[in-house]
Amino acid sequence: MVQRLIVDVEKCTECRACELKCSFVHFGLFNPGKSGIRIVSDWPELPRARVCIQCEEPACLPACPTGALVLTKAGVVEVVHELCIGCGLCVDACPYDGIWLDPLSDIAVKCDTCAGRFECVATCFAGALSVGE
Amino acid sequence: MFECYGKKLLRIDLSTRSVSEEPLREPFIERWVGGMGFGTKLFTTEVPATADPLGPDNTIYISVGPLNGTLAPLFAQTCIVTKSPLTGGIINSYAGGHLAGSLKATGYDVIVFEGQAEGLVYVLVTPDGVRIVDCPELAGASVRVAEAAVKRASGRDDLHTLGIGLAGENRVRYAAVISETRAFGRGGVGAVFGSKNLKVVGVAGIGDVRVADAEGFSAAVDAAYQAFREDLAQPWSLLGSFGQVGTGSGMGLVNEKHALATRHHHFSHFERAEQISGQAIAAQYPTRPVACLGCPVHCGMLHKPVETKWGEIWTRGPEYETTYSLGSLCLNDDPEMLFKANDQAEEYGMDTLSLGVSVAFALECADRGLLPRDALGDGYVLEFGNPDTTIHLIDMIAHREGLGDTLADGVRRASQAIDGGSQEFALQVKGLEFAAWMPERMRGIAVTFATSNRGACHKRAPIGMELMEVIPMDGIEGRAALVAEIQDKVNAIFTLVACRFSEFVLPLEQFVALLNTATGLDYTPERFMQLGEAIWTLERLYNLAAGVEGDQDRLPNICFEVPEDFPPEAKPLTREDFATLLRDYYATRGWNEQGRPTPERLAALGLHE
Repeated sequence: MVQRLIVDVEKCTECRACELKCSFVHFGLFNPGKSGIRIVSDWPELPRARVCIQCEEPACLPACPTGALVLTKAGVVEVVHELCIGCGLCVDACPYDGIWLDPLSDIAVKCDTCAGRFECVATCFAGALSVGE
Repeated sequence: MFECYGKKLLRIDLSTRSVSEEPLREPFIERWVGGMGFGTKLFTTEVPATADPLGPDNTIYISVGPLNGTLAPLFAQTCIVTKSPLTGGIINSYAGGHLAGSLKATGYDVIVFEGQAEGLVYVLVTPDGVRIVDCPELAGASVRVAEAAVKRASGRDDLHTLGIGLAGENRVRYAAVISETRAFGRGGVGAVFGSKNLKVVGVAGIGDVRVADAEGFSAAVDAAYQAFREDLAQPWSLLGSFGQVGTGSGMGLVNEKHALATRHHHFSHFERAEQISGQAIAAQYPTRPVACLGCPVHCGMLHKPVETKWGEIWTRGPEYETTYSLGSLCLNDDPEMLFKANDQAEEYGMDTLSLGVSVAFALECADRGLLPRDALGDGYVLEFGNPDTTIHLIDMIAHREGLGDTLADGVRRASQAIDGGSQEFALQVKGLEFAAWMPERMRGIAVTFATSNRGACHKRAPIGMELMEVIPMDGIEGRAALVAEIQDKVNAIFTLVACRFSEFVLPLEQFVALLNTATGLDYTPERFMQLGEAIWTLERLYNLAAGVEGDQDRLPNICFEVPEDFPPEAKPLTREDFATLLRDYYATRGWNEQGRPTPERLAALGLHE
């Protein structure tokens, strides 16, 4: 099984530090739109987490017309930014709301597990993020 | 350099509906850094001292700073600077949440609102541009309804909002601007929005926020995280307890120390305080913590819907200061009444501090025979410890009905209207109502309330040091200098724009490290502190020009009376001690005996009148 990010929304405080961390790790800047995890508030209900579940037969992969999505040896789909044309076909193909376009650059964004390092987990003081299968 | 700035200002004239962009020059950015610095410099340069706070000549400056929208923890505040309809002087007011990050990502460091719209409008600042939209249908709408309507109309789920309710529209002088349950509470900024017919501002920023030195910034952020991690791991951590039960966690300690203003300052201890403490409320009602952007403290307590005698309520809060002003001060011990009052304050858009003090003032006037007990009519009795009266009076204030109309102008004006010696006990300085602390008990509070440019504000006081008795609560030696130092430091971190709580944990050097790595600037701790002093002095000069002079650096007479339950070992505040404190304060500041900055001090700060 591929390792993936698990979000316990009951523990989440909706601070979205994970989003800031993710964009910083992948792009060297801060922009929640470029984060592979999104926390969506729905007060007074619990938030909803949007994140790739790293499924075994990713529907996004064959949907990409430019080869901008690649499968790593670890079984994780990564986005090759230079090849992405922002068509959004991967977004339409994913049944799990696990990939989306950055509204600024139109580049596809998803959780790539930071090559297994899951760097957002350490930023989560609430302990809502963990790594699982 | 300056990667973490948009380097531009958005100016919106509501009278002419014209919109323009102006560059923020690098020397200006370097000198004033952001947030309170930008707002104060622009306001004091552009708004005449004679401007009517509720007239078209007043201007609203909404600003962010270099650390907003980054991973630096506890930098999620947005700053509003304008002229206060309570004090007639400059006010800076803050709210956390998720607004600052979005505003920062619009690329505007400051949004300026000038003039007055003819009818009610909301304004959208999104990637599609700036839109000013008429919204007569939102007249009288609660903040929550108005925020939702604007969000829906914008068609954007990433829109963050700030807006006013009925109180702002009715120019209640302590109306707040509410941003998604977080409040720009103090000073009546909501009334200024109302005077401009500005109902809601919605911002959706999608831009990148960069820093000058990514590696250095990352290290500075890691160090800040480590500092919070260590603090929060301690069983005694105040911030840790805030994260567990909210800012009301300290009520027990304050009460134990006889520093909890009770029954309009007649008492310093509330025997039923444990019923409305953060711990009690969290234990009794289902709650979960919610945080501002990137904040590990998560002090916001979100309550699931609670069935009360006033209907079903879901709310975030009440905060500590609310449990004082609408709780102990009015002798209310019912948490559900506080939920209701908190909810009213949020939906009408009012500062819970000034609101509670205004209610308590009416109760005190009734106790003293200055108002009839049945002044509200409908069977409501003006008496302490009557939750229904408080709830009803809040409605009357927001609607400006009957006595509510008088109280909606704040206790300084209300005491002038009611007269009968009520000015002696009206809990205000410079027109701003007291925050939750007792000058009778804490000398740092006495100095802070008397000298703050905002009026009786607690944001720049050594509260923790006094409560924990690191320094004696009633000591005056060096106290004025300590307050001046804290004022400068807090002003400095409010340029970034930091949450006040950050300063409980981070030393000055860490703020400066975050600032320098984010901006590429080369601030030293000394220069950063001097920035804080320069901002304070600009505010002071403006206030002096606006008629808020040194004779208003005072406390009402009630502060020199001894609370009935004062512990025998506690030393009451004397006029002599207060005079000494004020003299020390002016001397520390380099001000003359009238509280006016000397030319020498102005020159040293690079300020010229």
